[in-house]
Amino acid sequence: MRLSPLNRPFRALAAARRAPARAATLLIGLLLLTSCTALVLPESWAGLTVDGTLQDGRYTDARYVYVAYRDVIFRIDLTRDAAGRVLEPNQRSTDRFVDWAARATNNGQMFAAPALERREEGVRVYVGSYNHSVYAFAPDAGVRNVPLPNWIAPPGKEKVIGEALVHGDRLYVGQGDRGIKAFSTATGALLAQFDGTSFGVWSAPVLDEARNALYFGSMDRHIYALNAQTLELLWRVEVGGAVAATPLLHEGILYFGTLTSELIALDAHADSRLPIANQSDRILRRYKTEGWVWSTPVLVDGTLYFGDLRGFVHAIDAATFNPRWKANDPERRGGIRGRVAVVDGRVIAGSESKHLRAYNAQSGALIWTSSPAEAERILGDVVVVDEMVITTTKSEERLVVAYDLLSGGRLWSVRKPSQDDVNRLAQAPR
Amino acid sequence: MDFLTDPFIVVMLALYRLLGENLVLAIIVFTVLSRIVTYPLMRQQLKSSKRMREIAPKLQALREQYKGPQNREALARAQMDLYREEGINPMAGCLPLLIQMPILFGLYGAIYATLATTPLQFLDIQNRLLIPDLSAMLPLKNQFLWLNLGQPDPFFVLPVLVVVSTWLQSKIMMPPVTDPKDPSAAVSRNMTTIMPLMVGLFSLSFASGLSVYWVASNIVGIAQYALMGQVDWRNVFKAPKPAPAAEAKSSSAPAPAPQPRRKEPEVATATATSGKKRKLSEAMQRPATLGAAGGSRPAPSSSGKSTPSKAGKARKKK
Repeated sequence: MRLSPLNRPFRALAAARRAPARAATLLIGLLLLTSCTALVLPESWAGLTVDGTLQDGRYTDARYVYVAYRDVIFRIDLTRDAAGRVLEPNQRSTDRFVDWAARATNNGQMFAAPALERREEGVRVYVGSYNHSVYAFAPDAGVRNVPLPNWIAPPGKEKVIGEALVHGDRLYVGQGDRGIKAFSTATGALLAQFDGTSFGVWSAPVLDEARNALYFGSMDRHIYALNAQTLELLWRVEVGGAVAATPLLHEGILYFGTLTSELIALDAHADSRLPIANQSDRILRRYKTEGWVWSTPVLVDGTLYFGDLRGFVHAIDAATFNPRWKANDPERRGGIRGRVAVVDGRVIAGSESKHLRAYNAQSGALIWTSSPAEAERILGDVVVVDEMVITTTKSEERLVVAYDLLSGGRLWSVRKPSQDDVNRLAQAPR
Repeated sequence: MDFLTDPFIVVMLALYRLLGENLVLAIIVFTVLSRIVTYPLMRQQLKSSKRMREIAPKLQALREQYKGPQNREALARAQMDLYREEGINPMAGCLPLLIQMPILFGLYGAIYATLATTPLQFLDIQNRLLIPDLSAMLPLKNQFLWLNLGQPDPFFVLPVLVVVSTWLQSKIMMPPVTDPKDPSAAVSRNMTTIMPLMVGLFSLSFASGLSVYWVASNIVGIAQYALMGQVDWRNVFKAPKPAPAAEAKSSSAPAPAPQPRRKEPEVATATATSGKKRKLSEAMQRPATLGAAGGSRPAPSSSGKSTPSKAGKARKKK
């Protein structure tokens, strides 16, 4: 029997001192234990889609907002409070009703903005997942809290990061690893695929119906044009930096940002004399920004508005790329990841600094800074529905937040639905 | 921690560019370079460790002599005197380790950051590039053989290599056991088994690029040890033998003393094993052992008095 147990820690310390190599091993072990960030965890921000018609930068007839975040996809009814009571015009409420929620199978993590398809029987929602699958949900029919069992897209090799594009009977989905796939919206069957990128496609493609072409940017520093039917390569252009956001297509010109701090204009309709592997003569203009550009630009009255990851909002002439103004928040640093909203002569941008800021679209003068999102940074797109500015944060407690368009004051927020919420909503009457 | 990691990110990306955009090669060269940079520190640490091992029997003897919490102060004083007369700084082993730790943190963080595979990881790296031009290289080409370096190894080859190389390094770095009954020796033996398994377990869910770093780091570590002549290959495949000094000491130890000089009831109740008896006898032989093992006369302390007299004084006080 040892009668001096207090001596043991001293012995252990002495042992460590005698053998620093052993202590090093212990410390490295501790380092590993505390460095759980090294685990390959799925991490992104919530994707948000408004079911409505966009007119002059504002959704006017929208009732629902669809949000995908982690293992849950859900729908917010903008006309009712959290208890389900219908809100009168101008009636205020600090929350909104979650009308529908569903989960992916196998704990699939969904971060992309849901793609919507309107059908006779109701809306159909498509979203890709980090577990390599693409899911279809029917919020208004069938089993509500799980993906449609008879719609099975063959899983790919890598996670799906970008949002899908629905057109006709086709669903186009970029792959996190490489390439893009087209699925049948009816069955989920794979119709065509393109594996020609050397990195992933993290954003939605855009469709050019006039040319039957599909354009998208890839993390492999190229812009691609494919035949929308067969997904055969039409041409590609090396742009010098990874393209993480969805390009904007306007009158045959593609506008997109790169992770080498540039906004680029590219003529998608021009005839190039170069080989299809790199038709660099399609590039029209380049504009150097302060930081990486991860947001899709918004074009209003000949001016492109977008944010960069150094926290600057830029307004540049779309035709000449001459800057009109740029502004940032010198007091609170934070990148602008999401798409800005431009409505009623205001540019509203959400920032990692946890604030929204509204600028005068003509001068760049600051109009208001919102009350802070409090918990987490804003990384999602900013949308305007009627007089509400809606965005998503990284906080599960205030995942979706709405602000007043005129003042920037917070109106309401919605948390991420729990498992119980999902189950409860599955039983709820429609 | 970013201030530690960010410069390493720059180095990592520069290496990636220099080495033909080969990420695995960049990680390996990065690891080797960091090991070379920290080599003097490691050597210093090992030297210190070796010296500490050499005087371990003397320290053990002192501990036996000054057993009990009431003698802690006297023990500390005697130990310090011993360090002084042997010309050893007991902190010399820790300091290089402390300097190496930030480097290790930075290296590890840089590899993790540059392997960014999810949008959020990628977003965060933007503010950490001290040279903005490096962003043109992102994302890094993370495909190597069957591996996506940003994802865990699907065939578990790297986790196995991590376990084996960590175990091998722990084994050959394990110092000779001076006293098989020493609890720290048992801790050391257990760590040799537990650590590789723990690291292997982690590497099942880590990005495989980090596993490449671990394997490379272990192999370079083993090579450095071998170059310094510190590798004891006998440790690898059989249970470590006690150090020669300890063996010689135990074999030449005189018979247990009939009576301890100090009355120590805990010794009387806990000396059932021969090991305990041997320790006791070593304690009784302390002045002679010190003289024999040290090979030199005890140097006078800074106060002009020798260690034994100081220790004697301490004993008298009690």
